[in-house]
Amino acid sequence: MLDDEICAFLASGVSITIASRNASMQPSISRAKGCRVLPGPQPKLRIYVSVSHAGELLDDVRATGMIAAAFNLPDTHRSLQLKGSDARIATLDEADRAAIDRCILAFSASLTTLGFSNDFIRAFFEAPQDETAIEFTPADAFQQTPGPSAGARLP
Amino acid sequence: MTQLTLESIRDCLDGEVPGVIATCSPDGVPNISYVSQVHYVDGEHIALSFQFFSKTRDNIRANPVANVMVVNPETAARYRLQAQYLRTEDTGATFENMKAKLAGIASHTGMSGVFRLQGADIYRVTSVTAVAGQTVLPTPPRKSLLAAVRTFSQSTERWNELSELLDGALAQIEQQLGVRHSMIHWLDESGERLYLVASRGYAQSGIGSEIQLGQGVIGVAARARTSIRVTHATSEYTYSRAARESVRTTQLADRLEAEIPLPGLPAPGSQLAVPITARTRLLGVLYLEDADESQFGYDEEDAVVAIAQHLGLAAQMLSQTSERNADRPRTVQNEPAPAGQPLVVRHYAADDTIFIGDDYLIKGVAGAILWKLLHEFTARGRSEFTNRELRLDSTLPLPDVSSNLEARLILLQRRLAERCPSLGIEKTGRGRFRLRIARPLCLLEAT
Repeated sequence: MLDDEICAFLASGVSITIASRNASMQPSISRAKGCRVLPGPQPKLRIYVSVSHAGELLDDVRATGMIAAAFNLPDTHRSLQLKGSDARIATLDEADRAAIDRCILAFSASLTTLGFSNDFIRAFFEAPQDETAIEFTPADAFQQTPGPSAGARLP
Repeated sequence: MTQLTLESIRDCLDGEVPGVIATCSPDGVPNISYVSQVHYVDGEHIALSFQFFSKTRDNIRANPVANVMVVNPETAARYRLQAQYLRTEDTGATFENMKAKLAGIASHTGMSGVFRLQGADIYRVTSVTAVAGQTVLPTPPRKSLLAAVRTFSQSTERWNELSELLDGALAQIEQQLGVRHSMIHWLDESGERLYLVASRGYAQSGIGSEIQLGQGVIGVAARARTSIRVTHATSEYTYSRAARESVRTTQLADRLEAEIPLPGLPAPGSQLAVPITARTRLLGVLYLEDADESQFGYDEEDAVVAIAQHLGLAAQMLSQTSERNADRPRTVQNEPAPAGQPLVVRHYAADDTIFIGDDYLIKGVAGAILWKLLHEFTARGRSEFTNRELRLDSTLPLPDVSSNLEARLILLQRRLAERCPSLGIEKTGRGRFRLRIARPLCLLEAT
């Protein structure tokens, strides 16, 4: 499901948005700042969010373990969604911090290409250093690039 | 913190940065998806573009709650909207508005041909919350839109003729709003076409050029009776193309030279077309355009809608008073008798097309009016006329709406001024005008 090319795409500094839900099936939403793939026979993903930005999402992840994460490269519209049901909150390590910096740098560059001002980009990524990681095993992956094959499950 | 309203964040709802929507299936699997367009409908509702069948659609139909995140494209402020899915619309004002805007977004993002609106998913917004974080200070507005509307509405009191009102409106739009390219189309008697009566900012005025209802931004605004605002250049709605298509379908397709070319910027970055109405009746369309993208936001749209509605009411009031209070004829000065080479005026009865020599002048109602006036002149030596006699003339295909006659006379007057200076129409008072003829006439009925 997640080959090397897809893993590289996920961690390459794309737009990442995540969703969870509470016990009454109310969805929650947050932007994420980056991600890293933990390789292995069952690869895991660590996605980083600012605690003060995340709203109810972190509570929902804690309560239900459910997560959906969309990865989108604005330049090409390539989009992918991963889903898991074993999400948990984890504290950051050095490798996570480096991944956040790398992702922000790369995504900033693609926003510059799209014509957003430096002020906008700075504000867009600015946050207190309060990131936390959400770790989960992707159980399902879906094509989301706009077009007829949007929604197709990846083998 | 003060309660956020949907109105206060509608700059985020203009498709500059894609929105994101989170939903949840009835068995508890969340889903997240990008949305090309989150559109502001009113203070309680948003509409999301439905382009493809998707998990989001399955989810909201089974569990109609959603959490939508939007970003202000200038300040980077982010907001979460809790929303309840209500219904999907595939016709009407919101749908047409979103469809036109999406064409601009698609073209801007290289997705023309892929992005196609199938429906407008309408949601009721139950809460708006700001995401904590840094924002950029917004640029102060360049102009006060309310002051512009006020100045315009006050000005309408000094304008006593429809022509003054139309030209005055476009002049004020330039002075107050800084928009240099604008035009006004009036609805013709058939209710199926619009013809240009006033324009500003173009090398060629395009007076008399036509647009079919439903074609281009202007035609769609007229047909759907809604303002249409396009924030990015799109070939889908440029009306040069719409015009070509319209020409193809008219009976005049074999005489293309008889069509008056539409004025307009070759590739406008921003377009805004607003119906001009009086009560519920459609009179015409006010159209503004700019070479740069994203020049018209929701606030500009509101201001221009207010101006167009005021314009419509003022036009209706003028037409009601102009005939009732028609001035007495002024003393007729002795005009020099027509002299020089005879002017050959040819009339095609099928559609009242008039040619001056070999050049197309005008057709339709304005053509019929001119033909009648010229006959009155040659047969009875009359050159003084009233609007009222024309309107009561059963040989002219005019409905009982005097602003239409007034607009036709403006069209005729301006076409003559541009194309045939030997003939002229001059206002001699309210509801009266004089035909000025500088050369002898040779009237031919063509077959």
